Amino acid sequence: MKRKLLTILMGAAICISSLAGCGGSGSQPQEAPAASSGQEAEAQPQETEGDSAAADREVTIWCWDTGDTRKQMHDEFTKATGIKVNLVAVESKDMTQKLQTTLASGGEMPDIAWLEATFRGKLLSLDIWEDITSDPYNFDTSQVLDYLIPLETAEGGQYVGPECPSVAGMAYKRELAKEYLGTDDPQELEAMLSDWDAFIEKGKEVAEKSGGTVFMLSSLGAAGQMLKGQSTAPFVEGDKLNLDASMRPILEKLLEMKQAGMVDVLDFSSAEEGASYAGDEHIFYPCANWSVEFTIKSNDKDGQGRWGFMLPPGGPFPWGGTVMGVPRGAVHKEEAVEYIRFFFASEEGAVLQRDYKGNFSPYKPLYEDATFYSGEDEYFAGQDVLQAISQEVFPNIKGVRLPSKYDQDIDDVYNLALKTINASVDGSVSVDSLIESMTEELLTKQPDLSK
Amino acid sequence: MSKRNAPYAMIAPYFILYLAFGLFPILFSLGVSFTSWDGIGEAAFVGLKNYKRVFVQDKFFYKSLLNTMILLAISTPIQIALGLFMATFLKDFFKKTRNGLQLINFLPYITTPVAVGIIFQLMFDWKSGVINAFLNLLGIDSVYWLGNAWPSRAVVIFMIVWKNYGYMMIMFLSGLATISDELYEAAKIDGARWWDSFVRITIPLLRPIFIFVITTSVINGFKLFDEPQLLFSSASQPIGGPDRAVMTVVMRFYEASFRNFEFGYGSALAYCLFLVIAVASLLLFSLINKKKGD
Repeated sequence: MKRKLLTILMGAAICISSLAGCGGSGSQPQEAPAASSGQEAEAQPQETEGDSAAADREVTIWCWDTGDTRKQMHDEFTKATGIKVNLVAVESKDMTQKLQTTLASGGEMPDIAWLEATFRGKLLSLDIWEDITSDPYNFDTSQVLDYLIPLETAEGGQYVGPECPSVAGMAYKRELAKEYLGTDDPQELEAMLSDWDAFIEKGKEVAEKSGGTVFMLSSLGAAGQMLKGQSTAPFVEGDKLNLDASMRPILEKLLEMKQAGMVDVLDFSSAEEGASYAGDEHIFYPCANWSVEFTIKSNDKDGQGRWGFMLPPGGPFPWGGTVMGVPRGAVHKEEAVEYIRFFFASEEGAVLQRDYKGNFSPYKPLYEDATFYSGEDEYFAGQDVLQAISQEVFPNIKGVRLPSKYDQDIDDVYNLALKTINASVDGSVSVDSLIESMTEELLTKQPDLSK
Repeated sequence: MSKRNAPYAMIAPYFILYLAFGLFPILFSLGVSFTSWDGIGEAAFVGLKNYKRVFVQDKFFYKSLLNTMILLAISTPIQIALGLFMATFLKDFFKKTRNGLQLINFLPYITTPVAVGIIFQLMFDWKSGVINAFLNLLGIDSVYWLGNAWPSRAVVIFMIVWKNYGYMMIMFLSGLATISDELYEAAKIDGARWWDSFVRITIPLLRPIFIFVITTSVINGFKLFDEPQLLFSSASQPIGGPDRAVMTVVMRFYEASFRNFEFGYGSALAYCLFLVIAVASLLLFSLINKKKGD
């Protein structure tokens, strides 16, 4: 009898544990470990009616950065506003799918979802976002850096949400620049490499001087990132492809660079390219404001004093960015907009973003004070990279290419073209054939498009 | 519970789970394949439009089908042959160390696919990969493995074979265990050498295992996804590699469904793949049965 009872109990335990995952999340979102269970256990018994209203003040954010510094930054926010922040880890590439399945299943939507630049076009095309400039939120976009507004506006015209501006210049290895270009001074280099033609000419000299062992850039993708970022012509206009006007000039320059032998054959953003930051074969890299911490310092651990920062030929360009979107189906929309207003439209939030995450703020008034973003960087031999970005890069952003729901397809055919150029021995590929192939592929993938 | 109802109650969990997670998704996706649906708005009925697009407009479908068949046709015989020889060698020549060697050969099959993808990316890198370093030592120029069509196919075939031959080996070992040693001893007495026994005893008696591994390899081959997807998984890599040389049908389905969010079209692609697998399996079975009849 005892044995039978034990069997029944064990069976029940297995059933309950296996069905536990089927339970709805209810009103208990997945929480970041920042709020320790110990604290919650202490807080719950003391909760009064008044406190329960305060406890409802929370926002749930789907994002891919749930690290300690973000949690510490949010602790400051909670202290200032009383709003608790729950972070749920979702990869940028999974965001669309996760939002769709949640909507389809009637699950609980996040109060804020992060929309990364690569996937933004598709995400903004979904009719699920709240316009946070409308009543009762009334977010004031006049305080947001002007160039960002079109990047944050959905196809239907609603303003979805702000982002930390992500812009880029060019980083270089001082020692190599001095040896092969005669100077490591950023202003002199900017004057020497004022446009891409000058850059290519110098590249030929470097290739000759080094016997083909030192390259201006590590990958065609690195060059392409700058060229694509600097141009604003849309790849698709309405439902018509616009590759001749937009993509052709980029591919022509890339082919010129390949033919000059000044660009190495590494794949862009690959582990090998990451390792090249610590090496002595490549002089220049595109460098966004986030690259300083996340790419240069993480890949070149002993690189103190080795680096310099300058404006690239053709000028600075936008690179990356993550919009804070508030879904229409979110539960805590007002708290979400309060969070957004705090971190993206106030000096207090900007200070936290700067000090905890090294992020720039889209809050326009901050850029009137040249010292707000400032600090000598030992990796850059004491150069004030933050100030250079806030005072030289931001004002010189000429424009942006508007996001499109076809962005991922465009990126894909562009990556294929890069592979083709890279694989050609000496750049013996015609731009016409590349454009033709890109057009054919895009028309097959997206039958709604036309030439 | 009455004695009469007890068996139904016992088998009910399986049928409930099958209805919920098997039959319903199958029928639901069939319904979706006749619609245009992005997963958020209302699904619009479009009839056979998606199927027409697959067969008439989508050159990637045919290309991915061709790629899948190339990869399948080359990798399947190699992995089966390698598995068979490995199993036979282990049984006949490595009796003492058999267990250890068996485990070593089986390890690739249970290695996390993501790790395999990263390792192969690094190994076959053009500039710093160990394979090219080895070729350079032999005086051969570096090959841009992941930048040209046929070399990238070769890498994917290598990945598939490396991963699966251990599983084949286990299947053949289980088959070999059923063959009586007396047959080999009798053959030996009659003067048969190892090769004769292998060709005239081992291979014919492993026929049921061959049928199983060939059929499952063909079905799994048509569903190929992990290896080519992981090899070209970084953001700057085109889907399906250079010239789309390793884009398989499942990758095309994944792209349509989960990158472009064309769930209707993706479902139609999945049903077309189902048709292809069904036809291939039927052909294979009729070929096997015909040979059996002969």
